[in-house]
Amino acid sequence: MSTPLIQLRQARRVYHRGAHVVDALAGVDLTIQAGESWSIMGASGSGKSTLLNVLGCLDRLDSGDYCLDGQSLAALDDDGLSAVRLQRFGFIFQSFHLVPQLNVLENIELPLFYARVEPEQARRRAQDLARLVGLAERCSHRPSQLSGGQQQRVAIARALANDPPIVLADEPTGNLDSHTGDQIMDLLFDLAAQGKTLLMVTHNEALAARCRCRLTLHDGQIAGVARD
Amino acid sequence: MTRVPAVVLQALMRDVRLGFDCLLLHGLRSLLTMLGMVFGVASVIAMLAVGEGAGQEALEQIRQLGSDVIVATSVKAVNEEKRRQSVSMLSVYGITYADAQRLQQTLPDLKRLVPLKARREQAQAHGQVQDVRLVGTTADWFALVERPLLAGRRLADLDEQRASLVAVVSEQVARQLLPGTAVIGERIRIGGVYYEVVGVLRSQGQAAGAAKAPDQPDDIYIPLSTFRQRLGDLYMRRMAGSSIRERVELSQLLLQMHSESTVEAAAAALEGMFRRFHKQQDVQLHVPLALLRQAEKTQRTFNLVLGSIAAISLLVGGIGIMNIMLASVTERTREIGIRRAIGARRQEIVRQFLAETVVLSSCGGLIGLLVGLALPWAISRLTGLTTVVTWFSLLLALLISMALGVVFGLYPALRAARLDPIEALRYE
Repeated sequence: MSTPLIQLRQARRVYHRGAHVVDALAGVDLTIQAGESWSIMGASGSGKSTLLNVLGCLDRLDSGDYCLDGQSLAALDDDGLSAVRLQRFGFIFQSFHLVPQLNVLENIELPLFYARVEPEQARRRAQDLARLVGLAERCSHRPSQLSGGQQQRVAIARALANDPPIVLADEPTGNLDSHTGDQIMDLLFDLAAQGKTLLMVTHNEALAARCRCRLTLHDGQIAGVARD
Repeated sequence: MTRVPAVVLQALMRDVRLGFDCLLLHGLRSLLTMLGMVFGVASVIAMLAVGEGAGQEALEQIRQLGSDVIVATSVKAVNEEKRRQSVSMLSVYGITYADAQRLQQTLPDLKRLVPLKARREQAQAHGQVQDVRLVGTTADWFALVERPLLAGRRLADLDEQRASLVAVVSEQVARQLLPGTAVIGERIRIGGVYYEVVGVLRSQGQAAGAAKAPDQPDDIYIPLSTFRQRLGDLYMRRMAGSSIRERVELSQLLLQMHSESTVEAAAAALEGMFRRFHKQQDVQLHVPLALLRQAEKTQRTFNLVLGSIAAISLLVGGIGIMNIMLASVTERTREIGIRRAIGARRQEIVRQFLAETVVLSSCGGLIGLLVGLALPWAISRLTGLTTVVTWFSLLLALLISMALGVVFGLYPALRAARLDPIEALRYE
């Protein structure tokens, strides 16, 4: 079997809340292959978000090991992790998280800007992505002028800007009505079908059922993994 | 290799543009924040303009007379003035021929001593009458007070020895008294005596009474010996009800030293000598070098006052900018989190906020520059001080405002960069 894309071994992440010590991740072992789609479920406080943050290099492990493409990330400094986020991950958040003072195109261009892509090239790529998510007509709109569904489309386009192999989604439809949510999910599963690895935190059983692998967390530990 | 700096430059341009966007987004807030910077920069420019002006004014005075010159002028003593009012009697005061001779013989390092007898007289020629300043002096005058000769010649030593009836007139006198003539060779009558005009000088002196230049625009120069012979030392003038009777031997002495370094010692020696040989204070000393020192002192005072204002307003302005940037960082915590999550490195966050602060402070600096151009103008109008705004001061003021943007923007920018991305994303 080839090298797994993501491999977590005995991953631990502990939070200190005053006098309490909370085990957000209490020894998680997880192996994810390239091209898989995963849903992560669990009650609130079960460690879903922590797991997603750790996988997306926004958070560090207190102990254990995280290998991405066979390489341990433990030795990377803040700049190194930033570079990994920039090139390997696309983030999609529940509340979209667009920069309010930038327009649609500029938001999509943001990762390209940090990757130091030439402006003309970045502009062309952003326009292509805006077309892909169906917002070609709205390029110069500010996020506040868009509906929730449209904002999430911008976020998806932004997540794809540097063509990362992994897309992380944190309840991407949580703030959308079911119809719009379905459209967004269609878009995400299209990406998965095209070979992107999709990791998605969700409360929605129906959405989870569309993923090939379903992970359930309980109190920072894996309660179950189901595969189709 | 050349592509990377271009991309960095483009990134910087984008940061600057973003800075402008944020600036315009909070127009009033930005403007108020900039005020401190505006006043600070304006003060810096005004300070330098006043300093530069004072320096140039002092230098102008030096240029008129030379820094190696001392001027001694005969003045009526204060108690003498009172006495004259009670009884109409002869008043005797001022520099004597003996003083001049004594100085010529005893003052060390003296290069040139120019004695001067000056008196207001009426000059006549071709039926024209003109009020002039008649100056009896020696050939040395023309060596010390260098003025361009327009026609003829200057007074010579021989004129002095022979007490010739010759005169050198200033351009203005020639124009008003002898219009339409060749001037040279014409004769001017002063106090019943005819003088032949031998030369015309261009005078640089300002209106009569201005102390800056030793010459006046309505001067007529004759040999000192001629003056003594023909007009004498006694001066009488009848006024309504009373008469003025004065005896003044020399009205002025110009002393030129060999070097600037001995000027102050010579001035002190002069003062000592006049105190010893004159019963009353009837000689006033005027040292251009001391004027320069005085100007420098004025300049220092102004520099201190304006410098303090500048320093305080720049400091307060900088702190104001830092304050607003800290608020901006807090306001935009989420944005910072988003950028970090996408993959922005800490230094890129620092650069973004630094660029924004520098844009803010530079705009303040630019407005301050405009105010700074108006301020010296107002100072000139109100105080009569000469002010000169130099390009250097404008550049310096702009650089200061930009540098302060970096200094006071660094802490907020570093704070922004140190935010934990997860916490920042969760911030409401």
